[in-house]
Amino acid sequence: MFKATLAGLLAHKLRLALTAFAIVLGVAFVSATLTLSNGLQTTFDNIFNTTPTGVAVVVRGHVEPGGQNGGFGDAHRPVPDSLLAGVQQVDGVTAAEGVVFRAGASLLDKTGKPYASGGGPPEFATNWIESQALSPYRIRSGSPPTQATDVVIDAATASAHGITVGQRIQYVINGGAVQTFTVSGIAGYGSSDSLAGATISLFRLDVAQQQLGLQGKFDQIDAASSQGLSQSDLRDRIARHLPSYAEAATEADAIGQQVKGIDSFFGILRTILLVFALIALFVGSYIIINTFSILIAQRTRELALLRALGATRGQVFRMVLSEALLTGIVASAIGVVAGLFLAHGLYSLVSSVGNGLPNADLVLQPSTVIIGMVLGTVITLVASILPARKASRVSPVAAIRDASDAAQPLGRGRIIAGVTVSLLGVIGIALGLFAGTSVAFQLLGLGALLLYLGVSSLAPLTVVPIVGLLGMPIARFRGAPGKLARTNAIRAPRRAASTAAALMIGVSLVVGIAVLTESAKASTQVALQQAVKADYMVFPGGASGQGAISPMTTATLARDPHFSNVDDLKQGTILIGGASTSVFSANPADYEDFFTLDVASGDPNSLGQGNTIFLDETEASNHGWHVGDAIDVTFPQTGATVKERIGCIFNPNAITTGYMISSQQYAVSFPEAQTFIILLRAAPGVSHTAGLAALNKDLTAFPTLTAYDQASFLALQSQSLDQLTQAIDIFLIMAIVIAALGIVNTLALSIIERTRELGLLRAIGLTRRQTRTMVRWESVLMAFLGLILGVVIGVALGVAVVRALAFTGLGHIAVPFVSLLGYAVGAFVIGLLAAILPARRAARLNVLEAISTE
Amino acid sequence: MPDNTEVVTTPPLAASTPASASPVASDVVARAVDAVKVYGTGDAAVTALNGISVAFKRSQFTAIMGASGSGKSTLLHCLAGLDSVTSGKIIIGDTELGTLSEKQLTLLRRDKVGFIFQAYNLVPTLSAADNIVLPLAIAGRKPDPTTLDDVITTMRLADRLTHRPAELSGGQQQRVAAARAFVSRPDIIFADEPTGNLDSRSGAELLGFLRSAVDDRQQTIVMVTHDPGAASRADRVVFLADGKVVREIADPTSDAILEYMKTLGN
Repeated sequence: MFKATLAGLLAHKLRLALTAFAIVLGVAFVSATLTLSNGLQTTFDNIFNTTPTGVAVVVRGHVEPGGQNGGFGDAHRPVPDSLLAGVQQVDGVTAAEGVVFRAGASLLDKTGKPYASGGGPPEFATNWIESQALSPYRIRSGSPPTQATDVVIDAATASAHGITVGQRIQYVINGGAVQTFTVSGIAGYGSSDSLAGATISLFRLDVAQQQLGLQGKFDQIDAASSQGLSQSDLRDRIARHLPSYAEAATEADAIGQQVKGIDSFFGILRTILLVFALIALFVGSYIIINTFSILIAQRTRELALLRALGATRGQVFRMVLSEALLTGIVASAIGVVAGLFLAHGLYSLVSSVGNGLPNADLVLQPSTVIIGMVLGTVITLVASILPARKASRVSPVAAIRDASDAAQPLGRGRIIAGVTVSLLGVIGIALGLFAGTSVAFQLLGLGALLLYLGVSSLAPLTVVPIVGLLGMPIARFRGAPGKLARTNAIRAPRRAASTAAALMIGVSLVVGIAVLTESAKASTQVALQQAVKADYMVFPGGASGQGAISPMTTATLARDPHFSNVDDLKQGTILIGGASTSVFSANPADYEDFFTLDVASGDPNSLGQGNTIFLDETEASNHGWHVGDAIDVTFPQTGATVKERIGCIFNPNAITTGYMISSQQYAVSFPEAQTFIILLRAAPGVSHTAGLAALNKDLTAFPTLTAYDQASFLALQSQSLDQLTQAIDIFLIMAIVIAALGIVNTLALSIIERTRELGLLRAIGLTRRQTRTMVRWESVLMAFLGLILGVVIGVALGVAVVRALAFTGLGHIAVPFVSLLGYAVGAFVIGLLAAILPARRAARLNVLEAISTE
Repeated sequence: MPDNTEVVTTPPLAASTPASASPVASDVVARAVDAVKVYGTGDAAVTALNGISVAFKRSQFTAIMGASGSGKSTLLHCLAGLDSVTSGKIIIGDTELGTLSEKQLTLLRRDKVGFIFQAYNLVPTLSAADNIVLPLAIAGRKPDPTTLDDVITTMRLADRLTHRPAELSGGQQQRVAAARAFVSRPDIIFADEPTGNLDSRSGAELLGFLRSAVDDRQQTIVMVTHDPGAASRADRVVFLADGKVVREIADPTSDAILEYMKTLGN
């Protein structure tokens, strides 16, 4: 039987190549994802692991959830710098120095604009470490910072911006005013030019402390040990001398923690990418099922002959499965290798856009090969089970006539199964969205999978009504070719349905996300209109919204007579029942000048009363709390746990969600304040534009900050949402490309199957152009069927998710009709593109041979 | 040899030399002139038509017979514009097919030629009525209602119009195919073994329709057949062997045909 399998494969090379291509693309996506994330992860790990310093032990505060200090690992509280002397005196410590290390040093170009406008790699400020034993930095040229205005920058940044020793460069540090420093030197990070692409600015220790608002504090103390003393021994010795607020860790553990942080970051990235890759493979499995089914229908005669010659059902079943196995293995192997190239391509693309990726060693790891091969092969095998079963049921006497075109109605069993599976999918999605379980994402994914399977199995029922209706105008306006296109598209509903269902998946995800985006925009707009009274808002520019605002900025703006009210909101992390969540603070005296809370219960004027906390309705109902209840709130920055009285419960909207405390409480509980927005109201008599102009003029002193009014704020939100949507859509393109391949495949196979009919049409006068028109419209009809199914499911999914995310302030459901129109155009184009090759093939058919085809 | 047969050793209707007994050129709907068709090249070359010249007059029902490989199907395909000749000419009306582009050929087939194939060759997704008017629909023309009614009535298809081909018997399907060929009133209809897949009753019935189309509506029909009975319904029979016309019989009877076929068999 193996010979028959191989012969069967080789006899249908083209058709099989089309099937295999779907698997190749899916597996390539998986392989590229793994290769890229593994490569980057290894690179980052290596930077931390292989940069040699003599640091043996680090001393730092305890872990602070939501803290600013920490890079990739957990954030730790800073320690007082007075601790250093004690550490230096511990027996076995040969050198010890304090280090401050924070993000937030924006380097400005010659025109006074930040080089990095958000979204790029972080820009760190830290102190120059004197001891060569402790420092990873090595001066390449110039000298260490000795003056208060000296700075040393990393070699990668220096060469990227053409910065040389002796040059004067401007900074905004921590959102403050512009300051000028002189480049005293350029340093490498160990032997590399930078720390994983980040910009590092090294200042004199006292300068760094002052600039970062860490006067009298260190983020950590690095200590080197004398020879023969292990890191853990020194750690234990130091730990004995430490006060309760500090802890000691071996450098190995500290690095391990960082690497773990990196690994978990890449783990998340990998998971997200793999989800997209799996979606692509899932779509690919539709193509496999469809192609194998059509091939088997077309080979009915051959299979019947095998059965007549004595092949058992099992043998036929195994023969088809063997074909799938071989196809799967070969296609997966090609896909794994193609993924390596794809990874290199993606890497160059991301590098050229973000200018910040370190050189990564992108190689195929054994795990990638295994995962890619197994996934691709198993999916091909599973997808071929149904067609193989169908093949094994071909009776030896069948096959006098080719029944593949017969439109078999869906059996009652299939309809019941389809409805059941769809319902299970809906239940899974509902549980994932609304039940608040720890496996919400898994439930959501499983639910969506079942929904797709269920709907796909019911989809043949939609072919005749939907395609029939859509095809009417085509039949009317495109004449005989249009009419033939319509009848061809509905003649094999199962085939058309599974072809369209593959497209449906990608479309529904794109549409669902568009609904989410549109709803978020609408919700923001409504919240702005209803709740925000501030005329202007100031926060760090750029779509990423990263960066800090210094308190002095608020004070400076408050002095401008163009504004009657100026205040800021601060944010931080609190622990409620051990779980960290975010809190924002507002000034009880004036917050209602800037925004109003949509009060559900309680008194919005009670914020200023001691230890009063406000929270949104979702949080309150999740915990079963009411106004007047006292709850325990832990402030990680001070470590204090405070009994807070619930003063007001408000309905969340796109602007105000979560917990809210007074600015007075914030000042006590958050020594490291974090201002995230400044709110302003124009003074009476100051026009909107005059106020905005004055604000922009004031902000020239703070180039990292940008002024927004409600319109531009909404535009910014929309822009960043659109960017996110586009990024997701790009990853979904693979699924859509595979679905388009499915249309190509179905058309090509149908054309082979209808060779004689095409020959007849050509013989009685259908021109080549008309033939192409016919195939093209059939293709467009299938694409539109996929579009319509996808839009229906996508809108439903999107609305469900918006409902589920109501707690984040997504109160308004909006369907993006303009985008839907765009998707319709997209589906049309996909239909046209998918038809190009099949249409050409149909038009070039040799009429004479076609007529005499059996 | 019966009286009503005529042995023709040279082509009677060479275009350049109309014989006195021959009709004038304008009466000729289609003809092949010195047509040669060679398939393949070198050692594998097969000569299907070997310099054949034959003409078909208006309102004439011609049967083409010959053993397998005699070139009769090739001749039909070349005459119908489905295949091209290696040398020589094929002329339909005033048009030499060799000068036509692929598109012009297609339009010629659409507008001037009708087909009836052995295997019915209907479009399975279209109803009988849609199949019948398909060539007109492809041309973007409306069928002439009188002609359509006439054809449908003649072919006794009135109560089958909404049926799909799969719901029709073989005879009915072939009648639909014939109606399709008739309805656009083509200059000439080519029928390739039209009765080959039919039982004898349906076959006889179809031949009756073809005969009456020629007699009543001055249709020109060229039919390739193996069946002497079918051929006997024609106005003349052209016998091919080795890619050449070897004999013509006018107003043939089955016996005359069989008689001659025996001599061919030897």
